Amino acid sequence: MGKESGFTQQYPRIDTAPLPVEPYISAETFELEKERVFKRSWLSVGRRDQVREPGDFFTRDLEIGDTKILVVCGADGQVRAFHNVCQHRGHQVSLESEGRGCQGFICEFHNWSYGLDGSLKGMPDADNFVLDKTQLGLREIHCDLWEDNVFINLAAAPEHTLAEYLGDLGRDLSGFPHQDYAPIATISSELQCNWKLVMDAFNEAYHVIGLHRRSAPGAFNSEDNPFGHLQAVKLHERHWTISAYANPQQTPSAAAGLNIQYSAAATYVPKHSDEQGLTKLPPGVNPSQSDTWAFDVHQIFPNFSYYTANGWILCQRYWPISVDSCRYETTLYTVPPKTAAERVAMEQTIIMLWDVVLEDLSTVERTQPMLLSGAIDAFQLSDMELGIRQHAQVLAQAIGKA
Amino acid sequence: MSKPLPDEFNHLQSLADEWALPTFAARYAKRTSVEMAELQQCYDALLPAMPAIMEFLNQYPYDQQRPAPVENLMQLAMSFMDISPAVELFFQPTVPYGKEWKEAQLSIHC
Ligand code: FES
Ligand SMILES: [Fe+2]
Repeated sequence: MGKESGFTQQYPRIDTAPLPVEPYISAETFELEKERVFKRSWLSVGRRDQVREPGDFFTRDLEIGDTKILVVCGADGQVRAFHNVCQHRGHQVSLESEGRGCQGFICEFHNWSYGLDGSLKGMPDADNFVLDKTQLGLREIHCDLWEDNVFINLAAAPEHTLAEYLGDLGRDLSGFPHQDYAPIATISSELQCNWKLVMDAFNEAYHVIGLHRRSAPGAFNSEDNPFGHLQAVKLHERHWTISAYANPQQTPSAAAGLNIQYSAAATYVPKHSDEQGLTKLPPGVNPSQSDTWAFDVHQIFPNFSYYTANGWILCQRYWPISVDSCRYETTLYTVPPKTAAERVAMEQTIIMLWDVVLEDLSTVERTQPMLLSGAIDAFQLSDMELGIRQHAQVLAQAIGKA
Repeated sequence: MSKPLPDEFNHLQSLADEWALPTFAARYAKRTSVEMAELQQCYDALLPAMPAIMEFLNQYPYDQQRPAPVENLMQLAMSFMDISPAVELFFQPTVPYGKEWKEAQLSIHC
């Protein structure tokens, strides 16, 4: 089997045995992941653009936290997160998925009202209650921002601050123009498979020459790099980065050519020689300083993939619902179109994202039932799939099964 | 003529009536509901016109309302982009062996 050099060898702590299938089908593992990982880790739930101004808010289902959350920008400009649970009799306070500039929240059931800071403002027929309003605000959840990304932590007392949790990776990405990009498109889908199968599908580039051979011919491999080997794999304590290769000689299709010509920034063809220049990027972006770099995927434990590229970012999350169901969501951010032609060019970026995601999401639901067949006990992983090993190992340690 | 185009693009009128559709969902539903021959025909007719269409549309700021014929032309050009993977890459309307697209949602923010 001998591979003489590789990324894996640089990390002797990584177990190189085949990866057991069991955690992908075990209800017991799922419960441990919920209690010991998702209810204790910093989780990316959105971006600052959704809660930019006072009164902007969004809600989201968090099955893996046994709750629904409400994230709000307060009158003071601070972003706070709450359980979306009325303190009267437990109804959901906000029934909207998002909103802008609201004054507060009124529960549909008996109309208790709450301020943007979660405080209980009042209720109809207040004299009929014996209670202390000051003690009955919405239950707050720890919330912090990193480079415009909104994170929450469901623990009563998180073990780390967000900055500590992100550690070296967070520092190595500082200086990237995260704030320059605006949301362009979001894709979401509920999938009948374990959440880790989906994250694994975005944790290697080995599948590109297989699964994406039609949609991305010659984009991420070349004569020099026929299998599209990664440019870098960097493992941190709990997070990690993989960097994809781009073929500098690739020939764009007619539609892609128009996109490149008219796009404000985003294309699937990296612009290596533009004004931004590779050397200005912080050390965490294109970590091997490759001149055939396509993009990085920073995998932030447990379930957040943060892509950085020359001109765009992408935020992708995998939300466990049950052992064999999850929700996938991805949002592309880049420089928004300024002219009608640039909007048409952007449509090519959007359609390629959509069609490629339909490829990526196709394998996971076909795989999940096969894991129950008894015909496969473990996954065979190459050096190029090291990210999957890292994720499995950090997870196993966190749930006490390492 | 339900979807008039600017005069200089008159020759694309019959395509506009079919393909000038306002949303991504409508354009993708259309792409996946017609035969490959129709996609190819639409692509072949639009391809030579695209450089002129883009040059024309580049005069119009995106954040301001456009005259209806310009808006129709922009939607037609977006349909060209949306059908392009089917014609250039997949050689069929849908993604081969892909995830059923109706089981996923796409929302556009820009
Ligand atoms: S449950 Fe919300 S007001 Fe009664
Ligand atoms: Fe992929």
